[in-house]
Amino acid sequence: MDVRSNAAGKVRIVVIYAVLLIWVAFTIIPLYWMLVTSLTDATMSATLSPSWFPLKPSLAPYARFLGKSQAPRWLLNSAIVACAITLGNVIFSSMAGYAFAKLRFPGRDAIFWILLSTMMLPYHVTLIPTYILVINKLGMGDTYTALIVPFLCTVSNTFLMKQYMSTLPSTLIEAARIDACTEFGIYRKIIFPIAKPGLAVVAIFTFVSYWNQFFWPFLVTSSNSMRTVQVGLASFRFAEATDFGAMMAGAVLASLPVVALFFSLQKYFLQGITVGALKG
Amino acid sequence: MKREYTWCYIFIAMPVLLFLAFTLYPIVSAFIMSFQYYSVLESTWVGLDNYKYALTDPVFWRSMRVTLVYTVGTVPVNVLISLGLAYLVFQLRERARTFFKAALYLPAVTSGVTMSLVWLWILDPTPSGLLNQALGWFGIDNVIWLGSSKTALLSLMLMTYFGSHGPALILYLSAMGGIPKSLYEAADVDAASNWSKLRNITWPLLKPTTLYLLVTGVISSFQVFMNVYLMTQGGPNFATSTIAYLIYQNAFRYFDFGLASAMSFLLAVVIVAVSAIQFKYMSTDVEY
Amino acid sequence: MGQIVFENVTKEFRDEKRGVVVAVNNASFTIEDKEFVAIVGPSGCGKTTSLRMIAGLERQTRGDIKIDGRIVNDLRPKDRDIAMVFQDYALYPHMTVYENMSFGLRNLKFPKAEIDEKVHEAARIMGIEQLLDRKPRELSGGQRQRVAVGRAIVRQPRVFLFDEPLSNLDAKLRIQMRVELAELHKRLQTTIVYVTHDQVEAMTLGERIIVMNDGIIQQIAPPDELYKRPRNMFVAGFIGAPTINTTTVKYDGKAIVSPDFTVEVPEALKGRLSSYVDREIVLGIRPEDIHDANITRLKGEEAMISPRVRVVEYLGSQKLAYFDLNGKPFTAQLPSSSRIEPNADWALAVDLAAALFFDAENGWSIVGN
Repeated sequence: MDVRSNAAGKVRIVVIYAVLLIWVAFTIIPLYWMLVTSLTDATMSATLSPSWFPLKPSLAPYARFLGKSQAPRWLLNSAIVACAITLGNVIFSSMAGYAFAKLRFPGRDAIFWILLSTMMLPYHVTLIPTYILVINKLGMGDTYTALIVPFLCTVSNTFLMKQYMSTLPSTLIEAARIDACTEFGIYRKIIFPIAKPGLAVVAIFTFVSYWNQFFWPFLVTSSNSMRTVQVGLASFRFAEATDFGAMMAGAVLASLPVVALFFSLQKYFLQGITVGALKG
Repeated sequence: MKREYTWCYIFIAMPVLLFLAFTLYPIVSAFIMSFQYYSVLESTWVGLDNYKYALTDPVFWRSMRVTLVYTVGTVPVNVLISLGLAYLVFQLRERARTFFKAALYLPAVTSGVTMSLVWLWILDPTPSGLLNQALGWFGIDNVIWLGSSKTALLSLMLMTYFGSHGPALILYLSAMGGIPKSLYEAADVDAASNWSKLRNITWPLLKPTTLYLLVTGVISSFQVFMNVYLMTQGGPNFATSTIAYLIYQNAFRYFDFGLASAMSFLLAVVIVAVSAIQFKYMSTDVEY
Repeated sequence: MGQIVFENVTKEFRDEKRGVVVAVNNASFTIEDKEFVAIVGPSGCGKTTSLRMIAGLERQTRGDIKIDGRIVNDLRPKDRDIAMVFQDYALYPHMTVYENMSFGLRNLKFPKAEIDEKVHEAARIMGIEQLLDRKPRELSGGQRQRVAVGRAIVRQPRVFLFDEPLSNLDAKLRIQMRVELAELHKRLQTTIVYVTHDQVEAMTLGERIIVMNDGIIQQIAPPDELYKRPRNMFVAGFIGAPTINTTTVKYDGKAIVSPDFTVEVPEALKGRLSSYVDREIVLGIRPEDIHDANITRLKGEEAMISPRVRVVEYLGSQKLAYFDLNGKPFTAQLPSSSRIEPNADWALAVDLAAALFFDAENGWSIVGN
């Protein structure tokens, strides 16, 4: 599929660039629009005549958003929840992935397949009893525990880590065993350090998806101060349905951490997770 | 010999315990619940009543139809868009490739909530809504995007077309990178046209990726909830009431947990069946 | 000390596709203290499994393994006082060479000063002192190999286990490391069990060689005995390059009869073949026992043949001639002074005195009585 440097090839390349740039414009416009609106003065926004550039940049929408919400608290809640879940997944999915990939024990494959088989199940099947369990039976509504614990080690991360671990040479584990290393020592001193590239990917994707998580926090939080930023933003949308300026300011604030993460760790996002396996 | 397994079970303890508490127990519990009239205060055994009610409820069928239209209208289109973008990006040099990958990926890291809010603003029914403005340049009249039962579902579908194709794009690109170059060279020797190469080499070898994207796409599309909740609340006139939104309403608005559970099992059956059909017709023996 | 004994050791694997696979079948042998024993055989013959059972990385299904008279069946690798060099070296990629070499001693809680001394001593022996601060990825293949061996000798174990340690090196480096390993063994005076699929490595390094095939031990012998007196056709075919020539012939009590040649059997051999009169036997002839009749002084007992030569390869010090005999491909290894030409009939002499005879039915060597 190489493109020859003849005239037809050049035209072809130009067309490709044109198509792609137009498409990029379409996907970026919503984000750009969000930013522009969030920086457009209150009165202008209220009259609903937005411009393509913030002619008179203003932070007023941010002030309005912060004034009418508990945004700092929401952001803090999201940070606590997403960080705790990320940490949990890094530790527990690497342990479990290692055991499923490299250790032999009775029931290993059966347990693994049972875990995997439920991944296709719609969320809604488990949602209601889980909700009743957490809210009514355990009385954990409106707590960090309810927001964090169910996601401390997801099946998909366990699966990814299993795939990743199975690419590591078993001889390292055997060498460590001969070197009188304990079983936990092998995990901590050998496996965990060399699995870092895979764990980085798990950490990043886990953080982003739980920073952005909406449905569960939406169900189990009831007080304003326990809301995560996504739930807070959604509640703001209904409370201040016409103030798009403030709404967009909130959207920008909610997106900033993950967008910053994306730009600083781009290569991890872009190497992606291939079908069934991490690309190491 | 027993002691040597201790650590193995400790290592897998967390996902297994979470599975027992938050997957297995809820499945069993939901299954039992689906045969009960279950509310927070009391529960009574009603046999198949919930299933019968769901299957004879026009609202349920309308939601199924909405979900189906949404799925058929989004998943294959988005897979094709990703494939097309990947095909174009793949022909570029490394640096240009990275740029487009990043630019097309970016929206994927922002949350569904933020994207819903932005699109709410873009689809604003007044003439100052971004999309209406743009259409105005072409002399097209104002459209009440989300407010009309004719265009509401279409609007939700439109959102996904211009959403991020980054993750799918990256999957396709890495699958394309995995196709041995020698295959194309052999095709060149056989004087194959570009179209023939795309049809006979690229497309068949990308089938596993396409299958994966279709299956996962359908599964998540059948469960679409957030956009509906934040943008249309299922309206107007149930035009965007997806099955997931209906289940949510039954469970958390009307607290009819039994009916909601029954519906979610019906949804599960549909998802498993559709996935199985996809595997049957799309799966291939191609390995490379 | 470091004597290893296998007593009727069997290892079975459960394989999803093939059911129960017997990797090692009822193996019994003794490896003496300080001995260098090579285990050789084609891939899948059970040689690596045997080594891993000595290490304690696999547990045998049946039988006993003893180290220095003590049954070690239930001992973990760390308690067996062994060290192993892996085919892929298995260097911990995130540790420096020093950390790699000291990892075992640190786990065993040796005092720091002692660890330091032992690591430096081992590094000195392997000539890798200048590499101690590097990470494995900064090393060449040969250097990694040295580090892997160095890591094994640091602990001064009773037994060294080598699992195809040279197979990832290029040909030149492999020969160099082979010589060094032989020297290292002399110096360390420790038992070495060395697994390889390369018969040249086994022949040059092993004081004794265990030949395995299909999980069964074929023969245990010193190299020259293995070459000259293989117990069966498998060993004869596996040891030696170019491979031994074989053809099925008939013995009528006086002469060996075959489609392409007939030759009187020398008196000395008749006793050995006495029970094979009028039966089929397999004649095995090493390529170097076929001579060019034009330049070699003959003893008069040779079988004279003049096959059509297909190809001649000139290798500098020798020539290899390929031809068919009794419908089977044959190779003759001739001195380079031979003027043998391809596409011509050439007079060759087969030295029967050096020939090997095998029972055509079971492949066992005919040793006579």
